[in-house]
Amino acid sequence: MKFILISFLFLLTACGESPLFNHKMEKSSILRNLISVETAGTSFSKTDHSFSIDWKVGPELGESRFVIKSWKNSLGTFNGPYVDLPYELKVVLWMPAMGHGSSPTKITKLSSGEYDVSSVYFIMNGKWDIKVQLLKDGKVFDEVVVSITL
Amino acid sequence: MKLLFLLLFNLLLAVSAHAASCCVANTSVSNLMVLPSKWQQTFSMTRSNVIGDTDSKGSSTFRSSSNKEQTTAGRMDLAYSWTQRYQSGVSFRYQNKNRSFNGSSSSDSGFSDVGLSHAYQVWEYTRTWIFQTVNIPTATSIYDTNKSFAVDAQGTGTYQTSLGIFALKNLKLFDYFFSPEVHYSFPRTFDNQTGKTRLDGFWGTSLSAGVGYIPWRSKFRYGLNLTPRLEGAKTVRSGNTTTPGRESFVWDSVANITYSIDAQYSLGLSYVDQTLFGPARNTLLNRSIGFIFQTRWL
Repeated sequence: MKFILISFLFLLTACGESPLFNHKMEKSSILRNLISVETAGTSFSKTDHSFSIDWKVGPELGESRFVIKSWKNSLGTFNGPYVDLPYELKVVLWMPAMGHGSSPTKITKLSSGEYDVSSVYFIMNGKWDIKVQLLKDGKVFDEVVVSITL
Repeated sequence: MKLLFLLLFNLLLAVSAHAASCCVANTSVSNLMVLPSKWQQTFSMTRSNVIGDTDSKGSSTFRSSSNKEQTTAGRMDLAYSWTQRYQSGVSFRYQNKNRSFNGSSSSDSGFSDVGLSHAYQVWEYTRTWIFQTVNIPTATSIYDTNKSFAVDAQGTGTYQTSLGIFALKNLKLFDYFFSPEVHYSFPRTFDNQTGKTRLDGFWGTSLSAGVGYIPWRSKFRYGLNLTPRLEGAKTVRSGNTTTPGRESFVWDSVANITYSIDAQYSLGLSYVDQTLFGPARNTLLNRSIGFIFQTRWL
């Protein structure tokens, strides 16, 4: 029995890093890793539109919320005037390393070119892709992926 | 010696009764009859808490007290012996998932996937079995979830099959078991919020090794086992986009106590911790506790 216990303790210390002894605690503060998108905007490749993401809650583990503001590159800038996107907007969360996403987000149009995106649930820590998609006839016509790490 | 054998039938009680993490499936055989029996049924109740997350580089973050994820599950396993050496089984599981973070919360209950298994005793007088399990994805999974925090993801989402060996050896008051297995998850296409999403097939493997100690003339058995589990990278295709995933790796450390009431009935308590051993990669880290009641008939 002693041999087994000693073996167990040896394994505990000799194998790879034990998460119990090598971990950090989750921060309670909001992590903002999206500064570049908020300031510079991001462009779709198949239309003349760009957009910015203005976080209202988060991005953080749990429920986040943001507003997408879109403008036409030939007519406006990050500061406006904002115009509607030419196709249906969809936002999908995706965790590439895990190979899965999260529950569907909700999109509500606030005003011309401004869309509230709620029910943004980041369900675990790690790198997340926010896929901002334009749907034409129900299919993805254009997509911009914004990555954040929580 | 007779008592020793009676205690052995609950050897497997804690091997795989616990909730699998989101990222690494549990495909070991859960209700193998290691003593001559016609029927065996196992009821288990488990409560599992996510303690932390480990990224693909192995960096672990333990969750704060405001970030809770809990799964409570009830499971029934039935096994039937067709001949002295061939047996098969079926598993049903009903569970509640509860998630809360900074005041917002979500909860959902439902049946998980259905599990099938069969096993063949290779040699009549040695306790070594070859087993195969099949997971039938009857439940909603992370790939077609609709509820906030994905609490309705009760299943794996894919058909999976495993092939493995379970070998058991007794030496005086100790028993030892060893069980390697390899499994494959078949490709599947989901209709979800992203349109059609195809999850490619992937391989995985695990290796369980454990020891049990039965004090002289005692009805108790004290067991420890360790199971490293590796899940292959999951590649997902949606439209023209292909997203390669990363491998997941986690170690289950299990401690259990079982008590044999008599030749027919047995009780067990077990504790599973995924934070003790490493390295861990790209996975959730769970701790769970389970209560098990097992019955068998000759």
